[in-house]
Amino acid sequence: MKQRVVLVDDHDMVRAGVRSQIGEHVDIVGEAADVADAISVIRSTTPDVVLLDVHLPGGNGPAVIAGLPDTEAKFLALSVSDAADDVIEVIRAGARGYVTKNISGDELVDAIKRVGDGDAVFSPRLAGFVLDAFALEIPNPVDPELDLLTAREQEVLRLLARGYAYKEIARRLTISIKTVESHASAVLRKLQLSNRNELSHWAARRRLI
Amino acid sequence: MTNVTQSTGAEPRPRPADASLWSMPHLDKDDRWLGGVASALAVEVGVDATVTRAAFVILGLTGYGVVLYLALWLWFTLQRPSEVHQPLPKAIDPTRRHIGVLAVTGGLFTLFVQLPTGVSSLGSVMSLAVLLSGVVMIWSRGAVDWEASDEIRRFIGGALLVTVGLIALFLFQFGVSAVSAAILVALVGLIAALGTIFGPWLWRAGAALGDERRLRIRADERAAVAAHLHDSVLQTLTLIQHNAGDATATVSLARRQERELREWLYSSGSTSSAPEFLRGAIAGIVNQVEEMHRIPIEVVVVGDCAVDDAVLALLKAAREAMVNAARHSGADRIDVYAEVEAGTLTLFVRDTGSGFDQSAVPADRRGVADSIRGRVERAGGSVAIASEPGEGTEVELQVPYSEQPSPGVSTAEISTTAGGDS
Repeated sequence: MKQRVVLVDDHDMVRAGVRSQIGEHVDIVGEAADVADAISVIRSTTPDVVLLDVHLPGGNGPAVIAGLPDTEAKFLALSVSDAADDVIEVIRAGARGYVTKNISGDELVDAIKRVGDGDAVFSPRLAGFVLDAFALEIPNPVDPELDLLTAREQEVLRLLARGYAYKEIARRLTISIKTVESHASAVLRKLQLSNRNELSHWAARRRLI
Repeated sequence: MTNVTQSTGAEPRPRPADASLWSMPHLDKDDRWLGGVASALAVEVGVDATVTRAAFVILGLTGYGVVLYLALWLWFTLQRPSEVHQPLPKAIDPTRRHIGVLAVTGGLFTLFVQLPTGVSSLGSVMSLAVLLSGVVMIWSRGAVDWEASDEIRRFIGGALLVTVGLIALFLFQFGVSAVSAAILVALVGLIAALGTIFGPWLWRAGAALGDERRLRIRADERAAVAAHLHDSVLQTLTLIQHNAGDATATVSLARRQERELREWLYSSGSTSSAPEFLRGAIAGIVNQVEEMHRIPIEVVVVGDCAVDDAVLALLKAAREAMVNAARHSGADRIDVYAEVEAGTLTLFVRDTGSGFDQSAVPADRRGVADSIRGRVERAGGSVAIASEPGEGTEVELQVPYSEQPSPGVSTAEISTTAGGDS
């Protein structure tokens, strides 16, 4: 069965491009160009996956996710934006992954399927951002578990950053693809739940090395 | 009057989030009856503006409150932060402005009557009233608009009242007999009157000048952005139009421009884009290789460090690894990942192309591999090459780096010394 997808992007050309890239493989049930539209379209069409631009008129990607607290839809951030803060913010708002707009059509279809199944999607860039965010050693007195990546999670993230696909990672670490997926989901969860507010400001400090 | 009731019934406004403890109260251009001093103080103290306004009125009855108000107004205004993006203030509601001006005038009146050399006679009091009402007329003007005829009429009327009031005041205070002394005092009075009349106008003109300066700064910023876009984006777009038939050229031009623009947007002013630091140095190399070999290179860098001799050796080796991947692998994309961690810099260059059997490497390619290996190992680092036929190739380079930043090597050096093989 085809995934039901809503496209949210304020540029008509981008939406048209994405539509032609993936239109054959998924069922595009709605489109929106700003935050308010997105919220009402997603409410009325109840898609499986929302492709969400990070920058939108009327409040950006995180505002769309925040406006739909009860939705069953999964969000996949799709952006040209490279500012780490913006990307981390949309993930922390609840997006299940981040891919850049120069991704190929097949990869995008694969990412949509993965997000629809409840898994996490890491582009190499997002993996790099996350490694960077967790590289600062700031002990969290409340819940240290949330602020540290396990050795295995770091290993998976490094391979993602090096451009490995999930199945290549599974083969290399001799674990199953399911295990790789669960590591990726665990990292995403930590990123979303970690209450270190330093996360949003890490980039600036990281450059002071 | 609806505006008035709305604002007095409002909750105390919170202090601006970024205001530190000792920051200057900020005159609120939108919530004010006269100069906004009361509402600024209210924000600072954390009470409703009604309270501070009432306090000023009560103090104003003694006369000294007015002096205090004017002094604070002047002080706050001089301390005004020079924000470039300050929005233009809303005009004050005319009713409020008149009430405010009347309050000040009444206070001044009381003050003068109380002075030791007091204004005693009824005539003096009345001439003072005439004088002050002239001042009110001039000061309660709205925005400077010398075109409007009723503005000018009001101004002339106000000036007449001030002059008549001054002359009458002198006559009643000092009498006709003291004319010689009065001439001297009248001169001083004239200057004071001129100051009173033209003061507001000069003040406004000065403020307008400041606004103009802010606008000019904004325009300069715009010009700088436009210049940058012209030199980079527009040039690239022109090149793309000329190369429309050549897909790979178009893609590589677009990618290069994308990277440059991104670098400019997100790291302007930070050290990370400088070639003396790892991020900038890698970006420089990747741009060269992409341009020369027309292949997209995906770069992820975690952390940053200064480029010292060991890092430079690694970067030269990395450049060769990228060039090799671009020329021999047949892959449609190269992934580069660099990580700075606890005194070690690790860099991976990976492609998913043809790969090769390492035990059966032809002599010329072994030479390249050795030159990569030799460079890094001489710098105290290590190299690992993983490749299988059909499985792509990954080159892992690792060097220790010194924690003390000692920049001073540029990527120009990398490209000239490592560029021989292309």
